[in-house]
Amino acid sequence: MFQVRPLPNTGTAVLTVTLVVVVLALPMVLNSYYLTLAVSAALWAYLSLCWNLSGGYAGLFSFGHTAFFAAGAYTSTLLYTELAVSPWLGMFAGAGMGALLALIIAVLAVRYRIRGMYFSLATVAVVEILRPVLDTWSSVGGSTGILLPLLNSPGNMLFIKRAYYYYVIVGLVAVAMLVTWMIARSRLGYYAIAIREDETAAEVSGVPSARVKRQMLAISAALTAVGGTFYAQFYLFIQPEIVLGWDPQMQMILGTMVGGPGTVAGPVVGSLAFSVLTEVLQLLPIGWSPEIAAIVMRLIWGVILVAVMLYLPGGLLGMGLHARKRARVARA
Amino acid sequence: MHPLDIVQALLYGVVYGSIYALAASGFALTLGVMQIVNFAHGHFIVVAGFLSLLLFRLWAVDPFVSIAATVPLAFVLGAAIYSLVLRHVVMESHHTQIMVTLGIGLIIENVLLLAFGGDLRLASTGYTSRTLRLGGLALSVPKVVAAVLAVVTVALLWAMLRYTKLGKAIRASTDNWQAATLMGIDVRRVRLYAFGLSAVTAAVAGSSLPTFYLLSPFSGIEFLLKAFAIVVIGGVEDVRGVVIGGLLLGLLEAAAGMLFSAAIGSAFTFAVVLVFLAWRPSGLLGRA
Amino acid sequence: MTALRIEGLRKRFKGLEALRGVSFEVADGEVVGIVGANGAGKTTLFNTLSGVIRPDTGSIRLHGREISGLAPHMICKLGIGRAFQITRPFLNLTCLENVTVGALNREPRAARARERAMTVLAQVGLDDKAEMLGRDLSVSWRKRLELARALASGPKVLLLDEVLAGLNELEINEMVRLLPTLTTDMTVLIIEHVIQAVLQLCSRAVFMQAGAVLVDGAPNEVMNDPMVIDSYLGTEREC
Repeated sequence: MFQVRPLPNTGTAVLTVTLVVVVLALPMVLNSYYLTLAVSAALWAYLSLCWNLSGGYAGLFSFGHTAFFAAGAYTSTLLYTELAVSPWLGMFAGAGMGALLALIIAVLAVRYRIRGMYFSLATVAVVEILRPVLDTWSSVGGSTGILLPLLNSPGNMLFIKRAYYYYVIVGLVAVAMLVTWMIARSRLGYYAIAIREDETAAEVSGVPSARVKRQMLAISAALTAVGGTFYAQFYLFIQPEIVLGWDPQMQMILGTMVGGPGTVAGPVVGSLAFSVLTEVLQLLPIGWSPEIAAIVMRLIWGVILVAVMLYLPGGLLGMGLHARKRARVARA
Repeated sequence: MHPLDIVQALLYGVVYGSIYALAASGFALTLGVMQIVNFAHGHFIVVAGFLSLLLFRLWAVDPFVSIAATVPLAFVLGAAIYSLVLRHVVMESHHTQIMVTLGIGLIIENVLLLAFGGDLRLASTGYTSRTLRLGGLALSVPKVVAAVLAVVTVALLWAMLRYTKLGKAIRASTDNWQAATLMGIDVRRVRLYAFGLSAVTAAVAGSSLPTFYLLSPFSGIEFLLKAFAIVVIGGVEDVRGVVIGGLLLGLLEAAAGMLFSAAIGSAFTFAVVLVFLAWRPSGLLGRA
Repeated sequence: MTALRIEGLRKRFKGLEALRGVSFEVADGEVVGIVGANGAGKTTLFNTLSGVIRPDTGSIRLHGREISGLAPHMICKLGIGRAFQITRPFLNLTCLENVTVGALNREPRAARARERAMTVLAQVGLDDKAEMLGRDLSVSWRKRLELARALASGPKVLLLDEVLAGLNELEINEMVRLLPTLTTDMTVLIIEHVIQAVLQLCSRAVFMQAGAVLVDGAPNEVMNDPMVIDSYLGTEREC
């Protein structure tokens, strides 16, 4: 859960440039299956980055980010299917809806002093209320969901060639990382981390905690909503059970917590590790069916999560920053 | 609406409410005694359910009877999980605890998936589909038995906390563990036992389930959320709070289910949880 | 010029009345020691002054402006800085980052705030520990960090709550030597049990007991007041 790092040195810069080149060149060497995987991996990296802003930096441990995700997906999709509004525009409307929902949550949480695990529970409640509502609301597709057309319409964020989706999502990842980096070194970032560490001490040091929470949650939500729009455009099908499910939420959190909450690259590292490991497991010559491999992966992930939380509380990227105090362990 | 429908719904609410209360009591115990948010509690219940299902499939052991086996096993497993993992997060932030216990839940869920597959399961004993009929009311026999068992178990838990030495030590540690340590109570030991007890209540709740509930490895989170809701509504410090919370939850669900649908009922329950979070998060019987 | 005017502050917590009509004034530049036994209401007083707690009744005026009931960060912006009795460093941030949070109160640009923070760290003698994490600091260094963070927020009135508690004699002497250099154009209120420090640092002392101010005057007068001695040492008949 760390730090605002100073600007990178030359070695890191060279590494970064190489990485960028590799990432941009990927669609030329990957086949259709792996390209789809790459898009999916990048999407989860993006969503983890979004969650990180609220959970990793501001300490707002939300289990309800799927609500923002759904807000984006449904808003842009409905605007497209009902009013022929291009999702390129619709995604801003979706972001707006996400931000609005976040502001409502943040204002109520501050007003009623809902913090810590109670805040987490409140966000769960929001999703648990939203899902049945969407399920029974036939005008927005109900439990059967909404299908998007399979056609090539770049003006409407619909491509036949997967490579284009890839570049869009990679662009979004870059934007999210940039936003995170900019916030981290700004006053908002310092204030958010201060609130995460000790809200009262932060307040007497001049941190306007209510405002900071609103801002961080709204930004996180707006970005998450854009992810929802992309999801709809790529997978061409949205349904309350899927977009408001527990699994997507867990993936957002897992990627961040294992990779390094409160860092810029942590969520990307964490969620990419998840994606790569899942694929590796399926490729192992053990004759596992994809379903079994997925189950084993999730099991391993549970083990990794427990191990990281106990021994590497800063996540993979937070590792170098401090050693775990054994004294605290012995106190129990 | 026939008045009998209302009574039926009330009965339904009380029956389910008792079972919910038992399911939540273990969660409340760990939260109260060691301030650990155990997001794997629901999974403990599910494991017990599958164990009892297994015993039924292999040796035709009646699920209610299998409690004799699942309870000691649960105590041992619970104590083991506590000593190996949870002991280290007692002093950590709730976020860390949630993450760790979610991890444990993930492990449990996927082990169960590998062992049993993802389908929903039910243990069909001779009485599973039998219903008691009183006047115009129908009561499913296994649910009634489970509810009675739940009430008895919670009552035993309450008595144990009230009258036994360990119980008093647990309550002292809940109130103020530093003071308890100074009074000579081995708080570490107390926490270990309390967690084992929590697992035991989960075992009793879980073992009853296969007789009337379609169990799946994915049910863990669902049970956890119910337990959490009950703790928010009823409070953590007192067993009676859990009972009140459980009954309220059962009745709310029954009422909403009668008036609308089960899904809306669930949404309504969470709306109530939100109200409580805003108004009185420590619960009806909790100390604000 | 009156820096702080406190009138009739009352605060009740369930059964306990922690503040029973506290009133006194502090002039610009004064260093006032707040003394009294534990439970006298000193920290509660600080909590109301810094906005952590809202008083039931009463008024607090900072340079003429009413601040009771304002949010803590507003009060900090208006010029009250606070160091807690049990230090509250941001554990997972470095010393520099800790103090930068305070500095941002006056300097909204992060880079400039860092520079300001570095200066303050040097003033309290923590500059060599700038990159150390809050959690890795010992008690006495945490006290300094707490002080630095409060100073960086640019206060006109500084509230120090037992800043010497837990320090050994050497550290106390150092702190007593250091404090006046750091607070030259500030008004300071110090809660302290170390009487020697009160006598050395303060131009005035206020004695509190059971939520009320009983004695208010020059430090050595206050410390020699029979009521004060009674509360610290007890009278003969209590043996």
